[in-house]
Amino acid sequence: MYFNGINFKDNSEYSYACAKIRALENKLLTRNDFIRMLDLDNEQILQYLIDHNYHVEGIDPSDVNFLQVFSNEWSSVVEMVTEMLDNEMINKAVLIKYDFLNLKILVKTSIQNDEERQNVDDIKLFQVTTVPGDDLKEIFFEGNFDRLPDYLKHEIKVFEQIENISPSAVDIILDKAMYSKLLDFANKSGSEFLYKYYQRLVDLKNLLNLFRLKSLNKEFKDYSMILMEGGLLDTSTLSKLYAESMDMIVNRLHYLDYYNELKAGFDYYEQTNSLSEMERLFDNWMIEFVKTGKMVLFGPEAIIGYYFAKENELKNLRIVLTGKENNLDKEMVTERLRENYV
Amino acid sequence: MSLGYVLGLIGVSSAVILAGIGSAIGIGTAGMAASGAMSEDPKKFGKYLLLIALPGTQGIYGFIIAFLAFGKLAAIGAGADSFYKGFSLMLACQPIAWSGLFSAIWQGKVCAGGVGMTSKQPNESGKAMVMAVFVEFYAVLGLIISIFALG
Amino acid sequence: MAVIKVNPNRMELMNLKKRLKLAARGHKLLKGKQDELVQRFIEIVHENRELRISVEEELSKAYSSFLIAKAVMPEEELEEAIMIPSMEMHLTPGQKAIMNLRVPTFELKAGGDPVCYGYTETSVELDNAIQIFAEILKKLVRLAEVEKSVIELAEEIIRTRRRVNALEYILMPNLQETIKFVKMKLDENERSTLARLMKVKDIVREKRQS
Repeated sequence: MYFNGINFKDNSEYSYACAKIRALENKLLTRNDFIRMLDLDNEQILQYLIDHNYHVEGIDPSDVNFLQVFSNEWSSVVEMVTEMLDNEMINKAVLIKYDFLNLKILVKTSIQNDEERQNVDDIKLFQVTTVPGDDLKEIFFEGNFDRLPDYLKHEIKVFEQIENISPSAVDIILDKAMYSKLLDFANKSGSEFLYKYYQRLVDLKNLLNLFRLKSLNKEFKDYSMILMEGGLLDTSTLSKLYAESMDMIVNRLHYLDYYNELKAGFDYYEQTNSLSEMERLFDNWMIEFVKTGKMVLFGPEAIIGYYFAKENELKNLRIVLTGKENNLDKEMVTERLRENYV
Repeated sequence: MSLGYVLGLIGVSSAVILAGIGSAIGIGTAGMAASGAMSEDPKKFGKYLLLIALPGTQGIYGFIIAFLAFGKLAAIGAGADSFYKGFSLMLACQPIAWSGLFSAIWQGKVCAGGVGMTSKQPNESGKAMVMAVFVEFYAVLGLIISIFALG
Repeated sequence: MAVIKVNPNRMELMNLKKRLKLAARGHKLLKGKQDELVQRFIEIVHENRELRISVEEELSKAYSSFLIAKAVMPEEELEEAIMIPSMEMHLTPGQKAIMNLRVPTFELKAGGDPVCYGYTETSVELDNAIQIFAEILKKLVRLAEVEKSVIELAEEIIRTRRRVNALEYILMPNLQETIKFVKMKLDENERSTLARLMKVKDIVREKRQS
């Protein structure tokens, strides 16, 4: 399935990386694996993960800290992928997500009350980023922002000018900035695939947020604040839609590629008053999109695709394990599992 | 020594050089892919081996033609028609030189793709071979025409 | 039944009778209070039970949707999202009287937006959880109020019943017994005086004849 005829360039430089990715794709967990895991105990699950190439060095098998396993695995995946891509812009377009997350944590710490504030040394930040977390922390608290790359410097300067900012505004400003930077880097990297991925992601997020804010009875003002530019759906179209009722919005958007997902998600919302199904279907749609990267024999697409597939896999794993740990209803867990990449 | 002899020599060397370059690039591509795949699954080496070796055949064809043409070099002599003899010898080498060059490069890509496919579907390695052999076919055509032209 | 130590005379008898009457009235009043308390108690217990069931149901729903949010979002992102709450709560304690009994009341003033995060990088599941938690808070405070009232009422009922029982089974029977005893004593005194008088009369009559 080709989405709007993306022109995938052939690039034999990536033949080593792509063949490695192909072999790694074999080890990705499938839906059946996840369902089977629901009946296993922790030790067996750990064995399962080891069989699927998870990095579990230094993990005590009798008392498994899965969060640790996940974050180890994730940083090793990020490291491997960025090394394979070996393209500064693509790497930035993948990594600055975590720079911005670090930045959010730091800004929020700085506006916290004194009694709630964490000790500076206790703040845990992501290290696999374009600016390592520890450096960012140091720069942030010293106030020496000139050492930061431009794309982060500008955002911090924004916060210096605002006083009494609400925590959600911190997120909103930084999220918006992050997506515009992601799109920008993806565009500059020349990877059409990545750029189109982010465009569609922005669209889906805008659309999902539209429904979320409407279901929370928020005003249009709030929505216009979080509406992100750069997607394929025009922001003015979405703004106009906000005034309409939800089922009208769904009808109006019948021309979208993901209309079926939208409709099914909305039907679920009408029954249960929860948008979780829409979110899941949108996630699935993005995975469907990422799957087109597999068609490319050699090129960054397959690697980027693997990166998103792994992100998705970890999400599914977390769903399974949290469900198991807290004895959530199995049906509830399985119906929230996301589509698989392989 | 005549101009014809030099032209003939250019033909001989081009058959080896161009087909060799093609094979080297092709094997390189397929080999990188195989090593990438084997970095995760070293046991499949046997299955990848043929796929890696296949783009190498063009180099061998080039070498055969060059060898045959080399035998004819002496017959060029220094007569009035030596230029034409040498020139036609050079032309006779060209089919395998160019078809070898490009078919080997592309065959390398097909084989690299085949490596990727085999790593996912170990039982389908035969199909990957078949596809690579399709590319080989055109190198063989070049080889045959070169042989006829030499004959 | 124990008899109260009193001097068996008419004065005491009158006092005792007065006390018995008073006790009977007190008993009646207390009995009425007890009945009323029990009635109130039953009402409030019903409310309490309903509240508790619904709160527990909603809490477990909120927790499971929060768990799902925790599952869907990476831990670090979730922690970042809910790092600083933006909702403000003010709880004003007060008092209210149920039949002279002081029970606490709480007034909850909640301001601000429960959603303290940006939407784009958070899961819908978090919205669900946060919303349920914000709604449940009012109910939780009401539950605290009602539950405390139930405890206070129950204690008051126990106290009242003890008093009623003390009156009914100890004080009143004792008084009755004592009254009976005093009456008997007085009667006996009267009889013995009568007998003595008759004896004296006999002696006087004998002396006169002789």
